[in-house]
Amino acid sequence: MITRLASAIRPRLTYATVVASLTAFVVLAGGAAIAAKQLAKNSVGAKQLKKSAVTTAKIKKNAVTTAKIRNGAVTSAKVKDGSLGAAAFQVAGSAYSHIVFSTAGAGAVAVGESATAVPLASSTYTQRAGENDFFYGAADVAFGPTCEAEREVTLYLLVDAPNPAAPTIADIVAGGSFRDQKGDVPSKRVSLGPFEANSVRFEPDVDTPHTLTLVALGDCKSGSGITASNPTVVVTGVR
Amino acid sequence: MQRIRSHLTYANVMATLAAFVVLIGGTAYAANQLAKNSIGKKQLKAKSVTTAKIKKNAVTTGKIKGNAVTAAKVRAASLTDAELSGAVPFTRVVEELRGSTTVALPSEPGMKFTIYPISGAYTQEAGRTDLYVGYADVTIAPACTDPQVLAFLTIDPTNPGELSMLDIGSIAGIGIFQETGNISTSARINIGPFPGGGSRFAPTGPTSRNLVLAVKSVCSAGDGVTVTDAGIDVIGIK
Repeated sequence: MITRLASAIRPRLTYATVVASLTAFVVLAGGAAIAAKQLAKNSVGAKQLKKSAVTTAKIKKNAVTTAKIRNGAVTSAKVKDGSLGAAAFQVAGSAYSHIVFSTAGAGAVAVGESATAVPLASSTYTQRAGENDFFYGAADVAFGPTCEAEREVTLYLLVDAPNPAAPTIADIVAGGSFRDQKGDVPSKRVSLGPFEANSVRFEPDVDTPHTLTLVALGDCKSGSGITASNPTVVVTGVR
Repeated sequence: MQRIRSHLTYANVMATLAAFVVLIGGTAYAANQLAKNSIGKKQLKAKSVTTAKIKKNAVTTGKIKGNAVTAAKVRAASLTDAELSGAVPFTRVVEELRGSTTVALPSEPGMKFTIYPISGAYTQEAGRTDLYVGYADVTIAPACTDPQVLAFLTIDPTNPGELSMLDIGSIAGIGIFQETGNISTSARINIGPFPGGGSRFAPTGPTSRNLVLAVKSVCSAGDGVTVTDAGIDVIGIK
């Protein structure tokens, strides 16, 4: 039976038949797989991609760069709640209230009944056009053992004072004082806040440089020995 | 040779050509002819989509997962006020009220004030504490000796032209200029928050306010203080 079938097929086993059959087999059985593994460079474009084919797992880490994101695409819902800190913001250009200048000092100075400057590391800054500036500060004051109570110290922060040794009310932007009635507080950190009047420097039309001077005045019932040290000054701006 | 020639039939030649085309050129042919929508997520390798493969501006809002953008993904110092909504609870100027009329101030002692014209009506938002600052630019004539100028920023005063102790609760800002002799020909009076009354605490509902700038001058001799322009900023704190 098998011998009869073989002898019936053999006359048809020509070169052409065998090659054609093999070709058909390759194309039909393996061709697609071979083709998929051997896709030419840049042959898969937007048209070949199915909708939603590019899933998260298919995107390489950090592949989505700024230029790939459409302007305005990152909305509030896309930002993780509580994730953005000050580092993300251009604080310097912000209209919201923030510190625009700060400085400090170190050395102790003797304080008497007339205004004495407490040196600041940097005493000049520039107020930006359109910005309202407020002033705050602090300094350590100490009463020596020979300074008898009742004893007190007053600190004033002056802006552009023509004569800091004799400040006028228009010069003073912040003030603070401490009175030790019983003589039992040898030292105190005194804070300066907005002064009674003129405590703001209203928004100038153009950037305006200012000179800051911190002065201290003190008084003992008798004796002397008041010092002021470690001053800090902060300017906050709001637009 | 003769043996080969005897097999060079049409069928043999065509079969050989077909096999050649399929095996050598078939791959490229197949790739160039991938059907539309034929590549799905199964065909894409993980991490195969690199930066260069993503078209510019292709990532739209809908493509970004909620909460996917964290601080590390935001360029440092890149966000400005423009990206923040008006509801951001920070301190900033919420109203700017200005006047540019020239008004002469008579020199008179006592508590008589001149009202400087500023359109001062505004509404304080519910839940927002407002703080007031301002300025008044003045010129001082040589005839005025020892000039003193006092500026009060008042809110809803009963009689701003003649302030009394009864009106002290209406005072929100104060600015003072004083000089011995006659040195300055002009000055800016900065008006800062009035001690104890410089703010209006967050109301429970929107509240209409009327800001009035009351200014007066005193010269020990002579006259001649004039306000050339003035302004008020309302600073909102939430």
